[in-house]
Amino acid sequence: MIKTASTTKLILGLAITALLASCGGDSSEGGSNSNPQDSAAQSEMTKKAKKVFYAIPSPVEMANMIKQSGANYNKDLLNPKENVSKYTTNTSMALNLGIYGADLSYTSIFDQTQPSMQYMGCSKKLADALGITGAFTPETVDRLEKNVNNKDSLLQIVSDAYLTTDAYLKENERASTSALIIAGGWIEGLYIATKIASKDAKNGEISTRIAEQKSVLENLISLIESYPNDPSLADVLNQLKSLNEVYNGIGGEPTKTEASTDDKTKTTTIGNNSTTSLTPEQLATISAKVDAIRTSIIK
Amino acid sequence: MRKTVLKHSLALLMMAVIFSVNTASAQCKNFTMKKCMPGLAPFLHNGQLNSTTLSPGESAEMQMTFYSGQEYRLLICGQEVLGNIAFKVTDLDKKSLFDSREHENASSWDFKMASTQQIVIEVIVPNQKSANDIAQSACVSMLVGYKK
Repeated sequence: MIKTASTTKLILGLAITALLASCGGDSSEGGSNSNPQDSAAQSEMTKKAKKVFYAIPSPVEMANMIKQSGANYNKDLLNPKENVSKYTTNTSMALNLGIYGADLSYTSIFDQTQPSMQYMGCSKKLADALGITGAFTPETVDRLEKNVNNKDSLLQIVSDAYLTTDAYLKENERASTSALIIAGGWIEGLYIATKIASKDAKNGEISTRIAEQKSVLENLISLIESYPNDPSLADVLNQLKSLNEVYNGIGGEPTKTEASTDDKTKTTTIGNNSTTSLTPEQLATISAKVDAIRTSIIK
Repeated sequence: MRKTVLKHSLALLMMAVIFSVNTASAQCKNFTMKKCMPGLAPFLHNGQLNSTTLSPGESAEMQMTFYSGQEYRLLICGQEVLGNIAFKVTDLDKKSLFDSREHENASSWDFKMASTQQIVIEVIVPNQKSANDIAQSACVSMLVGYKK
């Protein structure tokens, strides 16, 4: 019994030490026992543990660029709302929450009131099924209804809902689910862009935007690879890597980065006005690949 | 009996650690939403929360593609206990585009893109002023907004 009590004390002691460490206290910092070698080793460990984030542009931004290119609204490009009941696994729900989010961005940018409400409904249904609270609440839907004719407010509400989703998942140690949502949203944005470009060969701007997705795709792959132990990401990672092989044949980023500041406005401009373009064959190959990936997700 | 106590203690330890991690994460989220997000206005955030807890002397990095023709705001926001957090913007070849330390420790930077390219943002938490200070880790957020 005495031995058991000692063991318990020892474990509780360890628990308290672990808790203190997790609260950020570090007894070795500035302590009398610290020596240069320890500091060097610690510094090396810090360097190795440096956190690297890979951020992906928002589907709202992509939808906005599609509209800026002069493209018209086409509802046939979107994932039908009736499909929402098909998604029953966590992976399919997360990917399609991203897809419906991109569709919601697209309908909102093009002032499509009714479809926006419907896609908000689909997003809410999937978010609820994934156990994400606080993002698509009745208040969110109410705000959307009240601001349906105010595009700026609408885009803010949609972006806020997806930000809350991302924050909730990261807070609850489910960041890999968030990565799936981001991947779904990016794939849908690219799918819409490729379909528009395939039908309108004169729209060079949209073709350039598709070419520019090369670096976004590389970051998206890095983001997903940062969760190596999550099998739910394996399929989409393989699909994205296969798309990346197609993109590897396209010219890269500008070789020289210029940064100039306007003395009057104090605004800095980065870049050298260079653009990346696609041949019709490259566009067709990317389009077919994205179509296949998207079909496998929304089926 | 001994095994049961051991099991319960280990379970308690795990729960305590998980709870403390979740609490820190929740505090970081609340801090970002309440204290940092308003600073992005009138730019619209990109829907992703890139925040982490850092200690003095530590740094974190974010890589992102920025599109030509668009205007952006980068906002670096950290809890007061960490002091003036510096941030450095470079291209992939590490060519410096902006360093907040050369701009009165600015916490945000607005810029336009003339061509689409990847940019790396590094945030650096300053070292402790004195070796006797207790190293405290706190929340740092890297936010990106674009002009609607």
